[in-house]
Amino acid sequence: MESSLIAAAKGGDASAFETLMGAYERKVYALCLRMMGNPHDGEDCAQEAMLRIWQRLSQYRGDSAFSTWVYRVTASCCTDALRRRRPQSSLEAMQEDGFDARDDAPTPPEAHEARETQRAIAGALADVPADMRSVFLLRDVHGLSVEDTARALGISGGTVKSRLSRAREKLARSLRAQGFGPQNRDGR
Amino acid sequence: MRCEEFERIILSGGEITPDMRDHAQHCAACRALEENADVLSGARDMDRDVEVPASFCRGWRAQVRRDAAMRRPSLRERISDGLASLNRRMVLRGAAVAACALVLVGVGAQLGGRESVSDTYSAKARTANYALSSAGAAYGTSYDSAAMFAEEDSGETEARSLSDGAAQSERKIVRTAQMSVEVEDMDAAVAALQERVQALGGTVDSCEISGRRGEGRWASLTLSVPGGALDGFLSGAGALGTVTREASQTTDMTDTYYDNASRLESARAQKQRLDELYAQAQDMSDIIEITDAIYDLQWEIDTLTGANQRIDTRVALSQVSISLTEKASDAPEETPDLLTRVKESAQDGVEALADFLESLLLLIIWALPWLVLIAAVVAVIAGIRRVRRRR
Ligand SMILES: [Zn+2]
Repeated sequence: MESSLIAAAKGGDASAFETLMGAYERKVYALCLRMMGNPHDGEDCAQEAMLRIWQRLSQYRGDSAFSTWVYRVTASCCTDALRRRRPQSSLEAMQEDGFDARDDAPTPPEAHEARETQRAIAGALADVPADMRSVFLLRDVHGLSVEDTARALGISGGTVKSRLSRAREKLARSLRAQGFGPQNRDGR
Repeated sequence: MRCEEFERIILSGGEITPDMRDHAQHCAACRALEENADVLSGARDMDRDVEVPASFCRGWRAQVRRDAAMRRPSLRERISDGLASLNRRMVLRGAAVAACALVLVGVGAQLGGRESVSDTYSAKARTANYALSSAGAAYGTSYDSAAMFAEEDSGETEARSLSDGAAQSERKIVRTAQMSVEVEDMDAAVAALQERVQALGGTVDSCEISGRRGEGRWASLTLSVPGGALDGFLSGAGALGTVTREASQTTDMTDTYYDNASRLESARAQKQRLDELYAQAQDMSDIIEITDAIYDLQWEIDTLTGANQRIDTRVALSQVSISLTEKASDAPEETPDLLTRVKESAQDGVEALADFLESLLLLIIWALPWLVLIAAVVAVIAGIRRVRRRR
C-alpha cells in the first residue's frame, strides 16, 4: 500500500503523495512545532518539510523505513530553519514568549493533569539545545529506535545515546524545578 | 538487552531485572531515564493534543499540487539544490540576462566583422557592468518582494478557507494582536489599559514593568479582549502614545473545531457501547480489556473537549500583547561620538564589499560555461572567416 503510493508519488502523482503524507502530517507538524518552539515558525517549517519531501522523493531508495526518511528530511528542515533564524532582540523575544504563553493561557478547569505535564515538558524542552532536543523528540516522543534516530539525524548510535542522556537529565531537572514529580524525592 | 526494551519496562512500571541493571551501568541514556522516569514518563504523550493548523493541512497540499503542475524536474532540481537563497537567485537572473547579451554582442561583432578588437572588448565590458548593477539592484529589492509574496500567499489562503468552510454553521476565527506603543507616562498608560480592558469585559493576564522611573521604563502586558471589541480596543490603545509596531493575525480554526466535534461524537458513541458491554461482561480478561478501552476513549473525549473549549475561549477572547516604552524624561538622545561613527561606517563598507565580492564570484562561476561556449563560437567563426579569406 505505502510502497505503491511512494512509487506513484515518485512518478509525479500529487494526489498519491497527499494520501501518502496525510498519515505523516501530524508527526511532521508536531516535530517542527517542538523543534521551533512556537506555532508560527513550526508551521512554516512543517510546510517547507512537506514540500522538500515531495521534491526529494526520488532520493528515497528504500534503504530505511519511509517514516525514518520522512523524519530525516523534516529534522534537516528544522536544523536549517534554526540556523537561519536571526538573533532576536530581547523585545521581540519577550513578545514571542507572550505569543506562546497565550496559546496555553486559557486552561479549561477540568484540564487533565497529564496535559499539564505535557505542557510543562514542551515548555522545558525549549531550553534544551537543538541537537539534544531533536534526539529526545525522535526517541522519547516519536518513539524511534536508537538506530532509526541515528539514521534520521545522520549521527552515530553512540552520539544518540549521549545526547539523549543529557537531554533527559536537563529536562528532568527543569521539570522538578517546576514542581513535577514526587516532592522531595531525594530528601534534600 | 537493548535500550528500547529497557525503556518499555521502565515506562510501564515494571521491575528492574539484573539484566537491566547491567545495561544501565553501561548506558548513560537508560540510566538517565531510570533515575527520572517519574517526570519523563509523560513525554510520549506530549503531542497528543497538538492541534494541527488547518492552514498547514491545506497549505502543503496546495503547494505540492502547484509544484506538480509546473514541474520541470532537471532544471528545477538543479536550481533548488544549488541556490539556497532568493538573493542568489536574483543575482543569477541578472547574470543570465547579461550572459545572453554577451553571446549576442559577441556573435554580432564576429559576424559584422568590421568592429575592431578593442570595440568588442568594450562592448563586453559594458554588458558585464550591466550585469553587476542589475545584480546590485536585485539585492536591494529582494527582501521587499519576499514580503510581498508572503502577503499574497496569506491572502490566498484566507480567501480559499472562506469559500471552503461556507457550508459549516459557525466559523471559528481566532484573532490575536501585538502592539508596541511609546508613551509619555507609563503609570497612566498602564492604568488606562487595565481600566479599558475591564470595562470591555476582558482581563489582564499578565503585566510586567521594568526599569527605573525617569529613565525610560518598559512594560509588557498580555490581555484578553472580547473578540468583537478588539478593533476598538486597539485603536484606543494606539491613542495612548506613538504606535511603533502593530500586528494582528487571524487563524481559522473552523476545520479543526468541527473535525474535533465529529471525532468527539464518535468517541462518545463508542464509549456508550463499551459501557453497555462492560455491564454485561463476566470474564475477567474481558473486563480488563474493556476497562482499558474505556479509559483510552475517556482520555480522547477529555482531550477533544478540552481542545474545543480552548478554541471557543480563544474565539471569544482575543489575546493581545502590548509593550509600552516610556520616553526618557531627562536624558536627551545621545548622538554617537565620532569614533563610533567612524567604526560603524567602516564596518558598513566592509560588509558592502563582502556582498559585492560574493555577487561577483557567483557571477563568474555562473558565466564560466557561457564563456566556454562563446569562445567555441568565436573560434568556429574565426575559422570560417580564415578559410573564406584564403579562397
Ligand atoms: Zn540503553
